[in-house]
Amino acid sequence: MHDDERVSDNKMKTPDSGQGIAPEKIEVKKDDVETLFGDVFRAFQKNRSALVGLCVVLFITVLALSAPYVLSHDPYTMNLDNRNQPPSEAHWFGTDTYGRDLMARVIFGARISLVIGLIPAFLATCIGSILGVASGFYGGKTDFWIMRLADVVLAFPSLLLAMVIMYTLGANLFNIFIALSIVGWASTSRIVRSQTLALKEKEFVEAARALGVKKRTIIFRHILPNCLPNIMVVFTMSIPSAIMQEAGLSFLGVGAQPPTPSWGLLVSQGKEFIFSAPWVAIIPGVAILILVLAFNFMGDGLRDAIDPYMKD
Amino acid sequence: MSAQETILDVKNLRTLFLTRKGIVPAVDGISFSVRKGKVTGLVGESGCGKSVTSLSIMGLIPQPPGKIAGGEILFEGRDLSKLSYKEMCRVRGKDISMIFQEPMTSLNPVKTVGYQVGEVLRIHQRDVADAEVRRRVVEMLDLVGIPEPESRVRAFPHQLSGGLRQRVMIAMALICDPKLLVADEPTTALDVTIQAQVLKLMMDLQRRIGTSIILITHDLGVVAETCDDVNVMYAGSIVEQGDVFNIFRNPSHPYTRGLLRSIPDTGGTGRKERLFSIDGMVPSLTDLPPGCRFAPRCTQARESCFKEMPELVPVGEGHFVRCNRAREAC
Amino acid sequence: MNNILVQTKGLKVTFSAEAGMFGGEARVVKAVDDVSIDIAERETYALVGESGCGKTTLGRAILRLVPTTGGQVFFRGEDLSSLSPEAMRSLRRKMQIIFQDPYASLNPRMRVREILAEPFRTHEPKMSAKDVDERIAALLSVVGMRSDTMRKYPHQFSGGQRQRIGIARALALNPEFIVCDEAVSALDVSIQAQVLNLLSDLQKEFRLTYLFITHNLSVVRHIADKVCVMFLGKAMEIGDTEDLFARPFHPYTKFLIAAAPVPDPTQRDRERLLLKGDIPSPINLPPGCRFSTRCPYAQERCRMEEPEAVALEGRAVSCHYPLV
Repeated sequence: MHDDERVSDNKMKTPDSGQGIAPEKIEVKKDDVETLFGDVFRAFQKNRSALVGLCVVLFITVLALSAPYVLSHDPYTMNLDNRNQPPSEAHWFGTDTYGRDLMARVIFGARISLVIGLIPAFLATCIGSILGVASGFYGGKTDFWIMRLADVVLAFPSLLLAMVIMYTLGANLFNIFIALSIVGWASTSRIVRSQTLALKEKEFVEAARALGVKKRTIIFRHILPNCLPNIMVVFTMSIPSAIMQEAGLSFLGVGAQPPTPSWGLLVSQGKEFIFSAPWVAIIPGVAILILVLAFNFMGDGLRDAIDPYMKD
Repeated sequence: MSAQETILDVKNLRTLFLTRKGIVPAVDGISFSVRKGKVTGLVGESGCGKSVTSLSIMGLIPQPPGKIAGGEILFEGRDLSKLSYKEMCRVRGKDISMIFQEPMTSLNPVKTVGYQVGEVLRIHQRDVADAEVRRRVVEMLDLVGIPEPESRVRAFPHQLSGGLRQRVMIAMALICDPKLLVADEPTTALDVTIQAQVLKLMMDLQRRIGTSIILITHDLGVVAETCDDVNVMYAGSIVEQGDVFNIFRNPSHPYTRGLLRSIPDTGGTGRKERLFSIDGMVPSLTDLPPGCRFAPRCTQARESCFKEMPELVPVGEGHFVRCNRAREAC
Repeated sequence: MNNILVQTKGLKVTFSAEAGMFGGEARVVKAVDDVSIDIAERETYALVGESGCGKTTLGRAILRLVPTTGGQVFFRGEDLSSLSPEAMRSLRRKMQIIFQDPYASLNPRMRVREILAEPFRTHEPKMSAKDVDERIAALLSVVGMRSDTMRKYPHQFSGGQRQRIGIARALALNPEFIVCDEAVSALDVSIQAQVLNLLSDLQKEFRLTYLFITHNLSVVRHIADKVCVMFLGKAMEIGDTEDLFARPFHPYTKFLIAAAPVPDPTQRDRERLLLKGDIPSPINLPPGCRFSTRCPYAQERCRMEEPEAVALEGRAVSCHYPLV
């Protein structure tokens, strides 16, 4: 075929005939590498309440980490002559029933609350993301059973479910992680599943399938990175609820056990003296409030910052 | 000649958007007029400012970030850009109405189409009786060629096809006998055979009712089929303006010529030849070239084209071109 | 004549809306209903039709991106349904796809380099990073882009440029067959012309075979050698482009061609052929010929009996009363 010959000497790498494709003329938009996270970060910075939330969280974290070095009192040392003292110069937050310095106990309690907030929220988000992606991507029976399981978990009042788990496993810190993770994954999995369903239909996923990319690679390379912003929001939002649940469990006596200075436990112990020494219950209660609010502000800000990019 | 009577005069309209990357002059000093009872086309590619123009006329520019920074929009002598929100509400839907591109999202999914068409009437004529509204709605649905209008008034938007939904939109736009209809890509989302039906319907109604129409489209075929006057827009300004026959027979701006030559040949002889194509791409509105906005892509640009923005100059009867070389070249 | 590269025989794709957990009616849509086409090597074969006609699904089914419910697809005479998943995966380098929406077809979280490296990472896992980069640079220059675009993200490009990146990805593994699914429909006219020129240049250079899926008849007429006109999942008429446009045998083809607006105002007063009514719902097709409810020439027989495709002057026409 003489057609072939013509093609072979017609080496039109870039036919520069004044029309079509002259590479030099194709300019890329000016603003240099600009990532989604960059944009999100900028939007986050503009949100004042989110920034305040972030600062509070950072402040509490630093305080909790440096607690042993900055505190003049030990949170476990009892002083029975000094019971239920109101706030004073020696004890800024007063003392509790056993004369322990309340400020030391609250600051040490922050360590527990932060750990309880972060670890179960992280575990729940991981479990939820993986199950959600699998459910959305594979569909069919996998989807059916994972989602029914999620329905069951969501149908229980979460605190009740956590209590049942704690009673069965025994009350200690490690079991709180397990209980809160089991309670928390279901809502994450729903959110990730619905995003996966939308992403699965996108043409870039189809392009990957057309290239013969393996399913698992598609999930990790194409689906999960695009869910990541949402997963981060869910993660931030589930931290305060984990903190609240731990406080609830400890308050009810199935969470952290005395003498651990968990905030929930502090409130619980203080409640007996709520009329004679109200600060013993109120100060840890306010601490819970502040930390939970700070995380909520952060989560809200993150969600607002990410939202516009999730729409298109 | 009554054809010379204009219903809308847009004079030196400037609409800006304030964004993080700076001020975007989406519409930068455009002037055109709409003759009574005629179809005026605004043509251009995406981002040329044609839709922003129509939204400016309707007073629907989101402010902020948008802002009408200058110029006048004279509708029967009244400057629409100076009207208050309330006054504009009385004009919208009654004197001027609009058809959008996407018939699915422009209708409320939880209300019947009959209710939605009738709502326009109720807003603008408060004293009409329900039975009268119903009669007018059925009449209108019938007029726009919806089969079985008596039963279709109770239908919800999702029960209708795209073509029928666009007909409902047209019925909604026309029920108050507007003097001007702004149609923003009314057939772009429709299939070819349905597009032909809807275009024919619009033209028939226009002839019958005598409404003036501003038709916004990127499709030169649609322009050739329907418009009387054409404004070709590029990067926020009008580059060529004139009678539809002049524009197609004697396109005088290199951009118009390029656009017309880029259309794959429908005549049938030119298969497999290379298509003419305009090099490069539309400049970013935040970073416009100093001279003629088309100069960087223009094959005939001279040095002067890169320095100063040309004026809109006449090249024939009612035919204007924004090009330094218009008079010498053609 | 030319060798057949891709062939479908009686291909069927049905979609069913699944019944819910507690039962309910499952609805079935025959998206592609018994379609047989032959695509010759190095030609451009166009699938035309309106929305819901099954052209996109047919393209996907040929690439085995949607499951088929009947019939076969052959690539160089090999039945794709008989291939093992591994063999199919390696055959994928020979058959590629370019998508309509340049905004959805590139992963927004990946840089151009990663997007274009994916074909190599999938099929040439041993290739060194440096070689991959060189290949990517070469690909970018083939589609008329500078190699420093590698570091950027898709949202930093215009629609036309993204489409070029999509084309580069499709070309990466030197395919023989590319499905262009409405590849220029989302682009502005002037950019559309650039991309069409690029596609035909690439076809010559790399000896590609295209399956060009579009609703735009003027594009079809410009680029295609052969056309298959589809309506509600079925091929109505198949023939050589020039011939088919000059003398359509099927009433639907005739009306489809007539419906396209003509960019010439002097022709605006021509007699217009307009179809009545809407496209019927694919869920409950009319009995007999599926075009009969809109066809002005339909007769009693058309409403009773579904026409078979018949050969007519080198064309395949599914009509009882073709317009000869």
